[in-house]
Formats: sequence, C-alpha cells, structure tokens
Amino acid sequence: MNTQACVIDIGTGYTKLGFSGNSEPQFIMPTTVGMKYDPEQVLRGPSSNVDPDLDVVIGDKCFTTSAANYTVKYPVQQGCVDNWSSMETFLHSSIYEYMNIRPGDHFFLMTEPPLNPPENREYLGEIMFETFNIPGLYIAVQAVLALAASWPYRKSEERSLTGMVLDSGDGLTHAVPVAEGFVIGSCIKQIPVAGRNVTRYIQTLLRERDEPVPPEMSSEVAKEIKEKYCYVCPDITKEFDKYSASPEKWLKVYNGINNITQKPFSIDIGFERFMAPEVYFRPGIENSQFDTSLANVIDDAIQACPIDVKRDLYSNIVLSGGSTMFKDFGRRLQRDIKRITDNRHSYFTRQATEGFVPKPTEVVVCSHKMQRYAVWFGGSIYATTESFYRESIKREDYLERGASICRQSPIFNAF
Amino acid sequence: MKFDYSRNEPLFALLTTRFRLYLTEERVDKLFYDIPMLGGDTLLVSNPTKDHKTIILVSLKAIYFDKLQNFGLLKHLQTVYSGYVSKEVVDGYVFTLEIDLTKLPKDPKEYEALADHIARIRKECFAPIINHYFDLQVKYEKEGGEAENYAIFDVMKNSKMIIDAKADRVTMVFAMTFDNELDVVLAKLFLDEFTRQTVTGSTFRVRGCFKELPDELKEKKITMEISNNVGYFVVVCRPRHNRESARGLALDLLLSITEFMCSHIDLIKVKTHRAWRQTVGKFVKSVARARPNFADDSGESSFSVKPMFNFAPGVKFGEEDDDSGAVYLQ
Repeated sequence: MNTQACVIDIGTGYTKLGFSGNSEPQFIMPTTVGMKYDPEQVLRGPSSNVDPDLDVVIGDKCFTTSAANYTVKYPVQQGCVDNWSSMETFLHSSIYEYMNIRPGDHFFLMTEPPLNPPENREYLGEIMFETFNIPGLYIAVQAVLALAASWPYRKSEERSLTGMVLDSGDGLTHAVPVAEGFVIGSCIKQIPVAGRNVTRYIQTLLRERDEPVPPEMSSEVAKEIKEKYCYVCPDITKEFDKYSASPEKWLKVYNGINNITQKPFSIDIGFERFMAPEVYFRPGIENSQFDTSLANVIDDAIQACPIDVKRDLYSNIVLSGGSTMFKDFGRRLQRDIKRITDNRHSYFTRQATEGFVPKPTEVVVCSHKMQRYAVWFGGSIYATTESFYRESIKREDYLERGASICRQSPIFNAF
Repeated sequence: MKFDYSRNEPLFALLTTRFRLYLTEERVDKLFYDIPMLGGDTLLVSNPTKDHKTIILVSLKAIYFDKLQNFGLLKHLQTVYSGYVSKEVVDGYVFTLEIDLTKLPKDPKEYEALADHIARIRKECFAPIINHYFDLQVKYEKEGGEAENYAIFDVMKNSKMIIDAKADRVTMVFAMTFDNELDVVLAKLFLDEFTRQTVTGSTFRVRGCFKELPDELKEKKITMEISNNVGYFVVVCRPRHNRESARGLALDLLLSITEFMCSHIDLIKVKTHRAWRQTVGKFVKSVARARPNFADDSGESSFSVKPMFNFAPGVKFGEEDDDSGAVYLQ
C-alpha cells in the first residue's frame, strides 16, 4: 500500500490529526462535538431543514459565535472515551471534512491511553471497520509512541523502548513505565494535576489580586498567560526575592481586548509566572487532597517496577504532552529526582558493609523539540515503517474473527 | 453538512497558517509535508533549499496526468495559476507551483482567496474535460452531426466515470464500487430519493442503477463490471436551464459526488448506531427495574407481570421515570 496512513491521536483536551511521514499534525482541535440537541424541538418536529442528528460541528468551530445554539459535548473524560455516539460523530466529521480523504483508501493508526479497558479497543475497532470500512487499523499505546518520538533526538546507541514516560496533557498526567516496548501496567501512576489545573490556578491568583480581567474571558486570558510567560524556577523563595529586588525586569504586562465591548484592558503579571507551574511540584497549593510532588510520584513508580529495569528507567525519563513545555521543566524534574536517588544512595552507603558501595543512579530527563505532539509524532514515524502495515489489524481478519481481534496486541500474534 | 469536496482542506489550512504567520510574526519554518488527496494523488509542500525558506513549493503527483494531456491539461494549469507556476518541476512530481512569501498580499481576505485557489488544484485538473464536453455539446446543438464520443476516467480509486456529449445534454455515468453490502443498500435508497426529486425541472437529473448496466452504457455496448458491490449512477446535465453556471456546477459535481455519497452513507450509519444505543439503553433500564418481592414468603413466584397502565409504586404519571405503556416486571 503506497498511500499514507492517517494518524489520529485523541486526547482529553485536544485531538491531533494528520498523515504519516509528516513532522507536525495537520489539524489540532479541541475534542468537542457540538450538536443541536434540543429535546423540545425533537418533540415538536424539526423546524430547520436539516435533521438535527446530521447537523454537527466539531473542534474549534464549537466555540465560535455562529455555533451558539449547539450544545457542546466532551466525549473523552480522563483520557478514555466516555460517549461513543459523540466520538463516532467526531471521527466522521474529522475524516471527511477536515482530512478530506476516503477512509477506504488509507490505513489508520489510533492511540489509546494507558489503563484503557479492552472493551474500548473493541468499540473503536467496530466503529472504524464497520462504519468507515477502513482497510487496516493499528491501536497504539501512547506511552510507547512518546518513547519512539524521542529517537530522532538521541544518538543511535541510546535509542531504546525502555523508559519512563511522563505524559502531561490538558486533562490528566500519567507516569507510565515501559520496558522493551511493553507497558508495565501495574506500576502506572495517575496524577490529578494537568494543564487545566495550572490554568485554573492562574485564574485564582489573578482574581485574588483583583486584576481587571473581564469574567467571560478569564480562562482564555489565563491560558495565554500560561503559554507565553510561565516558566519553572529552581527555588521559589529565591524567585520571590528576585522579583522584589528588580520588579521592572521580571513583571510583565498583558494587553488584551474585551471580546464584547472591544475595549482594551491590561493586566500585570507577576508571581503567576513561576507559581503556576509549581503546581506540579507542590500540588497542595491548588488541590487540597493531593500533595505529592511530581518527582516523588515518578520515583515511587520506578521503585515499584521490577528490579532489573529500574536503572534503565531512571536513565530514560521522557517528557511528552503540551503541559511539559514549560521552560526548564525537564531540568527541575531531573534535579529533584536526582536528589531523591542521591539521598537513598547515601543512606544505603552509610548502612553498607565494608567494601560494597552501590553505584549511583544516573537520572536523565529527555526533553526534545517534538514534545508537544510527541505521541502524534511517534505515531507518524511508526506508520511509515513496514512493520506497521504488517502488524495492523486488517479488515479481512476483522470480518472473519469479529471485534474481539482488537483486544489482542499485534505483538502476540506470533503465537 | 458538506456538499463541496473540491477543496483540499489540509492544504488550505497549511497555506493559510503559513501566510498568516509570515505576515504577522515574520516566521518561516522548514516545510516538508506530504498530503494525500482524494483520488490517489499526492501533494508535496516543501521549500526549494534550506536557505530559501520564504518560497513555498506545492507539487502535484497525479496518476491521470498523462491521460489528461490530450485535453490540454498543462496549458490550462499554467493559464489558471499564471504568476505562480514554477519553472523547474520537483523531482518525481508532474507540476509545481511556487509561492513567494515576501510578495504576498497583506489583506487576509486576499491571501485566503489565494490559498483557496491553490487548494482547489484538483478541480483545475478536471476542468479541461468538462470544458471539452460542454463545448462539444454546444457544437452539436448549433451544427448537428453527433458522433460517438465518450471517454472513461478514473475519478477516484473505486469509481470510474464515463462522460459523453449529445446535442442537448452532457451525460456522466459514475461506476462506484462499495466496500460492503450494507453500503449498497443505503446507496440504493439514497439514489432512489435522488431519482424522485430530480425528475422534473432541475439542471441535473440523477438516476441510480444497481445490478445491471444503465441504458446509456448498454447503447454504447460498453461492457463493465456487474456485481453485488457495484452501483452505477447517471447524472444528466441539461445546460439549457442555466448556461453560464452549468459548467462550474458540473465540475464541482464531478469531484464531489462520489465523496458526498460515501460521507453520507457513513453518516447514516453513525446516526443509526446512536439511535440503537439510545433505544437499547432505555430498554435495558426498564428491564433492570425488575424487583424481587422478598416480603412474600408463600413460595409463589416472586415475579408477576402487571397489566398495562398500572404504574410502579411510587412513580406518578408524568415523572421522569415514567414509561407508560411498557410492561412492568415487578
């Protein structure tokens, strides 16, 4: 098959669509479906010319003013698909309207989150094969693709499919250990801190200081501030001192225009710049129920893994997802994890019998240019290889064996 | 609901974003994207060399290019895109357009119109055919002398088109191969509706034909595949209703109709799935309300079927839980 495969990565916040072999997804849109769902209208009979079930908008168009009558639904909750009817509609619109292809001509690579129930894989297979008649489907685990995405940025002897993937998107964050391409399912840790929490924290801080942000635009403004001005600092107390000592160097001003009144407004941005990403390392400031630093969570996750992979996991911690794009995020994480492992090492050195000193652990956090769409990029690379076409589930096999073929991993087909 | 598939959305989005980024932030990035188009062609968006990032090259690779040269395709493309045609064609591709970012119009509407024009490149590829056959039709109308003149094209991988001209109409017959029998059933219903609604008056008359060849092909003694999965539909264009726009409409129709059919057949399947999920969900909810009657220890069956319109205890008529008319297991 010479045609390119389609790579679709569906996340809680955003979906990335594109074709294999490209370095960036062609479309990045929020995972939302806007439907004209008005119970009263359905009872009285459709008054518009279009059947309400066929009149659907997806993605960015849901949030424009022309789509004000549409109820917006979020089919993906916590990484897993919740509402399959909306997801089917979303896939239909994205394949025909955005990617402009006939699905029967292309192979598809879809991604699944960690801890995805096998029934979800079946439903996905059913939708893709029966509704869209695609020739072949490969359901990939997001963590393994994120590892593959870091390969172009590493020397060839360092490339491996063993590593700890920290995937932090808009909805949630996962720490997923992968050994030789297999996810160690029992050691996956989920953290309730993600992009949304950082944005919400910025909103709280701005509100506490009574900044003149128009209330309807509060989350938009907070998101822009997060993406443009926030960074991770090594030590909060020192940053506070820096800001007090020379405010004109560190404080920034954000100028915006009110959407409704079209009047300009400007806000001072101060401590949010470094306090907001601190939510990852001190979740207690935003979440009253969870207060473990990200470094501790990753360390716990690796310590729970089998002993023979622990060193390999420490030396290959890969970041992926939009919320890991803060400046110096990787450096701070590496320093914090190294502190934990060094403490442990010095404790055991003190306890050790004479002559035996354990080797210090090497901690490397890998940060690279493609982090933001690492999962999509990994999928795009993988879909150009020959093994992708060999290992994907083909339509003939699906029609013969039924939907349960999707539950298996292609790696085990050898048996 | 989308009717017009003549524009390539990924290319349009890519060009618009690149133009906007250049004009607002002076940002140029290295580009190298392969975008497949409907019908099996591919487009390559790239830069000439590492140093010339302000020039974007859009190259086309089309399987039907040589065949369409008989209709003057290259000259047509060069006229339509004059000012943007590149002198050297990128290796492995048949046609290249060159867009210089430094010479872009600054108005968003203008550069979007340019991106739109470029993204409709597939439309321009098929325009010479339509022009040729409509010209023939005009010639026959004025001068007479109809002759056998049809041609077979591969519009997309699974559909062929046979087009020919007569004195008062241009006929396009599309042969589409469907992937499974459900699609054929849905397509038949779809085309029956088309037949009913386009019988009188409109410029285009559409007719569907399954399991046998349509009359137009039988007259010409063309043998084509007849099987369970192949459907033919005949589109007859009568330009006497509106001469100027008939050509443009016919061109859009040629490109869009097979994709339109696929898209809407799938949409009906999506809608059906949603309806079944809701129906079965309601059924399961009411069946799951079966409650065993433990207080009664007489040894009789603890389930009894109550007659209709006898509501479950505690639920009044008009409340949310009411499914009056259903048989209750209590």
